[in-house]
Amino acid sequence: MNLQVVNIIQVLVVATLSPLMAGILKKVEAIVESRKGVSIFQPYYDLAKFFRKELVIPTNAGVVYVLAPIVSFTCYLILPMVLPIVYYNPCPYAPMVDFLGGAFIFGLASFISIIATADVNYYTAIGASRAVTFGSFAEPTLIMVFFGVALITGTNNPFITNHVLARNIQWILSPTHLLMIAAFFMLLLFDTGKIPIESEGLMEFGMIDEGKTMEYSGLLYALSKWGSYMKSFILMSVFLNVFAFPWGLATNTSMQSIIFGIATLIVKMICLILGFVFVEETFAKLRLFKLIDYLTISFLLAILSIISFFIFGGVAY
Amino acid sequence: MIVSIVHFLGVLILLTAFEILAQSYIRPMINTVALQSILLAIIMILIGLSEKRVDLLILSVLTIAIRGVAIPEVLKKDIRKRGIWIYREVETRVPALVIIGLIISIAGYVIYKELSVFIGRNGDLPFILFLLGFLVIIAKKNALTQMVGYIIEENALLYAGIIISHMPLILEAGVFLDLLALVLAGVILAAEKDYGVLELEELVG
Repeated sequence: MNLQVVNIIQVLVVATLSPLMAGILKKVEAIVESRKGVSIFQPYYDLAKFFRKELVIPTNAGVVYVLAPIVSFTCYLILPMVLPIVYYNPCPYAPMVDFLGGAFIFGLASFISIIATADVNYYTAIGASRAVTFGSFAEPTLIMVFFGVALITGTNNPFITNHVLARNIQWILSPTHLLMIAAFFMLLLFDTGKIPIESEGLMEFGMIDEGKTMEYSGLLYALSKWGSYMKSFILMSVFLNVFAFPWGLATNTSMQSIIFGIATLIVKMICLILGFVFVEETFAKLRLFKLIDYLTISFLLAILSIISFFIFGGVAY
Repeated sequence: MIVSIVHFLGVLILLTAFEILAQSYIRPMINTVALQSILLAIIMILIGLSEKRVDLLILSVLTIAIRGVAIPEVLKKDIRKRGIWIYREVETRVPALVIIGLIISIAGYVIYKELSVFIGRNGDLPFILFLLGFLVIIAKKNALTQMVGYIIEENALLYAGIIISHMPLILEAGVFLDLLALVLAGVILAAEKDYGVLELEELVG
């Protein structure tokens, strides 16, 4: 199979499977809470409904307001081309960016959604300002995790990181790497708005991400909702394929191999979802001003991983 | 293999010190310091088994008995007895304390790099733990927590004793008894007064 086709397959996997994973998460949570829960395909029905709804734009909204969901959705469509989602070698556009480049594309998506919604109404302004405040505390952890990866592998490229980790089991079990996984997992919970943060509810006290999309409707709301599903999916697959479990990706471009890669990705992701459900069902939601404590602890883990790299020389024997 | 597990446990010990630094309630803090001592005892057992040293195994049993069980029980009994300890630390300042702890860790690593010529290699973690114990004593404002900080320092010394050079068993056992006596004396002294959480405040003019 041509690499360009693999590229398109990766984008399609992210675009089509991301609502399914959100649905599975909701369903598993419902089962744990002894509820019947909605169907795992509910996010697809929701998206279909949002696409059919009428588009209303507030009078004080500008051009950026309309462009923002489209731009951020496009960013999330670009990211699967440059990250290891199902195929373990770089696709044609992957050499253009490394980890930091990927973080810049993520950054563009959140930047445009913040400036678009910062002054539309009271609730969107709350969402935007909170996203900036807490985002600025989350960023040092991300940078430190990237530094840690760069220390282990000597590069900032996600594909090489994946190869190095998959070949060296002693790296996987080193304190440096385990602490890095813990820091990145905390960051993942923050970025996807899972329970210690719970940014997705409509409760005003804890509203972060949901606040920003408050005024959107119709097509634009559907795009931003779909974009948030894709963002979760991409972050989860980066966590799995680059950090936590670098095995099981497609190793060649044949049809069977790619299907195998997609299947293992789904299995790995369901395991990660079980981890999310465990956290969501056992922890209480943090109060908003405690989020900085939470992010400080993730920063602590990231720094300790780097300190332990220097103390132990990184590799476990 | 043993070495990597010991390294990992060392990092966990460091994490427990940070947990104590960030914790604002007293009972979880005492539980954490007990956990820290037990982790240290596991390190002793591992090194004792791999190097076939009986004294380390005896020491690990002593550590679990005294630091893992007896001292935390004494401290917790004091909490149960007097309602004043159920209160939390007056100011929490978690982000600030954690960041200061991190700076101290990095500084400790850099300083130890210079000191290691004289003292011996691999002592980075005990040294950092020792400094963090200081920080706990400085930053926290009530007597029981400061005693917890003291136990962290003792743990750091014991850890250094295991990792860097072989200390005689009798010396270690003496330190254990000292620690127990000190905690008892501290609890008795604290029981004499009824200021509780804010008792350092009275020293301020």
